[in-house]
Amino acid sequence: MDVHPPLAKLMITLFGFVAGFDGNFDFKDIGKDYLEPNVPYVAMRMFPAICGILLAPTMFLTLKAAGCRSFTALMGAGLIIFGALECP
Amino acid sequence: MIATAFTAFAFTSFSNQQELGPSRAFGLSWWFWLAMTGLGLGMTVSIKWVGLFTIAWVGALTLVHLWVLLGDYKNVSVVSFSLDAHVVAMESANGSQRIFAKHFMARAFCLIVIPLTFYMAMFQIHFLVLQNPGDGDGFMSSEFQSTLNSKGMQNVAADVLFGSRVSIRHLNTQGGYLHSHPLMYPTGSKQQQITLYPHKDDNNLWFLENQTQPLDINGEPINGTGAWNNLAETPYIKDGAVLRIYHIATHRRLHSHDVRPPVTEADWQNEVSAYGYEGFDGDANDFFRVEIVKKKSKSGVAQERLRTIDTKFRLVHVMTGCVLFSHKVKLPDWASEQQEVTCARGGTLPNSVWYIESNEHAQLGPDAETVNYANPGFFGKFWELQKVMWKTNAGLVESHAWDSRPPSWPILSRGINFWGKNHRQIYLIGNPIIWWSATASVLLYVLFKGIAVLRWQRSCNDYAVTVFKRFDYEIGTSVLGWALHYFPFFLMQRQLFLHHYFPALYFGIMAFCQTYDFITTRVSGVGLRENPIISKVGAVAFLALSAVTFALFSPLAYGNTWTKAECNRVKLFGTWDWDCNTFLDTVSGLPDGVIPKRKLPERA
Repeated sequence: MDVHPPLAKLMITLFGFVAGFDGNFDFKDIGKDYLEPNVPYVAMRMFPAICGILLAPTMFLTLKAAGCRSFTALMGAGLIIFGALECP
Repeated sequence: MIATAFTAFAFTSFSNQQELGPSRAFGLSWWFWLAMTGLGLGMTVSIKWVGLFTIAWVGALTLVHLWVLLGDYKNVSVVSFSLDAHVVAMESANGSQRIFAKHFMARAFCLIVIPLTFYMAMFQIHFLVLQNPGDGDGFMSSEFQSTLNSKGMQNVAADVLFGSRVSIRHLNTQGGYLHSHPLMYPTGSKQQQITLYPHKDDNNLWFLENQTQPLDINGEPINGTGAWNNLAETPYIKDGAVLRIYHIATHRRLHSHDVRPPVTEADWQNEVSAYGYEGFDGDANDFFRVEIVKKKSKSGVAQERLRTIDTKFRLVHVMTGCVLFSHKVKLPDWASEQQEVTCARGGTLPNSVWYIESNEHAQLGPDAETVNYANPGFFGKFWELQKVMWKTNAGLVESHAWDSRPPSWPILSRGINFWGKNHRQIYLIGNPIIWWSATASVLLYVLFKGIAVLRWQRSCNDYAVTVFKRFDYEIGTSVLGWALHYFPFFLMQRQLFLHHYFPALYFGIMAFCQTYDFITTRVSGVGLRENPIISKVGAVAFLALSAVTFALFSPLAYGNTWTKAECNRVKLFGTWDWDCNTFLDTVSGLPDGVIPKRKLPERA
């Protein structure tokens, strides 16, 4: 049972559809072989990856908007890049 | 995450527009950023309910804005400070009241109406895309399920009569239909099992008989299952009627007696079984009285006599007074793990309400009045889904091998194990340098605020200094964001993971950078403002330090090869519980041997 509102799953579905994912892989277990059934995992992971990457420039712009110097804002963006090792 | 960040950005931009003064209010970029904030909130909350904390953050700061506006008597205020009731003052007060109302309405529209509309639109798309039944259907009501493809139902005859062949559904648990099959209880009376079964099946069909057989014109009883088919008077089943409920497939009747049920061995619960054989008249323990639950039944005739779907009723066992009951308790293997049905005594139990879903009778031809599930419509489905989500979320309480509680998050005492195989491992842990810096800057601000409040109480007039005031407001904004995305988790009983701290961390990093910016470029007296080179070198050095730390831990993020020594070198605390013994002494000689796979957390 999914306990979250639907936007994230809808976006993931949209990207899966665009990437040509056929819906025949169930993603039930982490570590399951996804190469054999030809899951277009690079394209499908691209969406969360882009979201994660956008986090850095967003931090930059937010700090700029909050009145910080460009240099500090740059540092903030850098901290996001090296920040949490894994960003969903 | 990106949605929260985007909201923070849009709202900060809006705050800037706001601070540019009344002349910029309601300008194009003012509206743009306000609307973007609303859109961002809508997106955030449509992804996870954590977005509600983001809404709280924006809401709190909006109240601050409005409060400032309220006091801005030159331009906006509703309060006229002129002491004499001068006509001009009155007029200006009216005018400013209008401006304040405009400010208020603009925010209400953009920050409440836009996110709510967006949120509901997402659910509408969700319903449109997902038209087919799936695994989660069992959580939803029958009305909800009947809107899904292939789960829809043909119309059913509305009136339930003596002699009707019906299926009887349990209202509260979505466990399914009252069911029996030719298998005996291994316990208690050892009679035939009664269960709840979720799928449509011939073993769900029951024949509703009156307490006694009807009489023909000679006063002789008419026997057989067709006995009620040709009576002069339509044999409606009225509230309070006593029934015998005959299982068509096995020729036994629903039966109860003072025997403990197989799983729930409570004193107030009796076993329910199917008892008898073909041609057997039955005994008094087969009698059940219909009690219509008027509050839950559709108004009109459905509250007076039994009607398909519209009437919700209890079945009271006449001899013992208990009511037919079922709950989310599964029977063991010998009943294929179907749901337990018992007869419960005492009180009005919500789990004792039933209704009839399918209904056939020879006297009800194709032109008889029919009913079907009412379509709940978008709002009905939307609201029901919200409730189910809330319940399910709150129900995620069992502990998990890698869960953690909020107090451990800011100090980064533990991560989450994702995957491990062939001497490689993926483990979620933050960059400790950045993590602790964020926490430290939050603590620093709290300390600052504490002293500031004390000094303010003693009228030290610090707030006259612009830098002081701005520091308090700007860092306070971020720290408030951190706090609102962190402290509510303390109230949650459900299982929580380190990744629930990420939104708070984002605000923590903002607070850290802002503090750094203030100390190095705005506060005079430290000596850094005059030497910008120092602050730049400092920032570069800190970034380099973070990058090196990242590089040291990165094999855990990417599942790269690692050696035991390299692993132990960065494992500073015992509570960082990835397992260095996973790795070999050297990176060559891979891959052999598989470490046991652990149960993985739900990525939420």
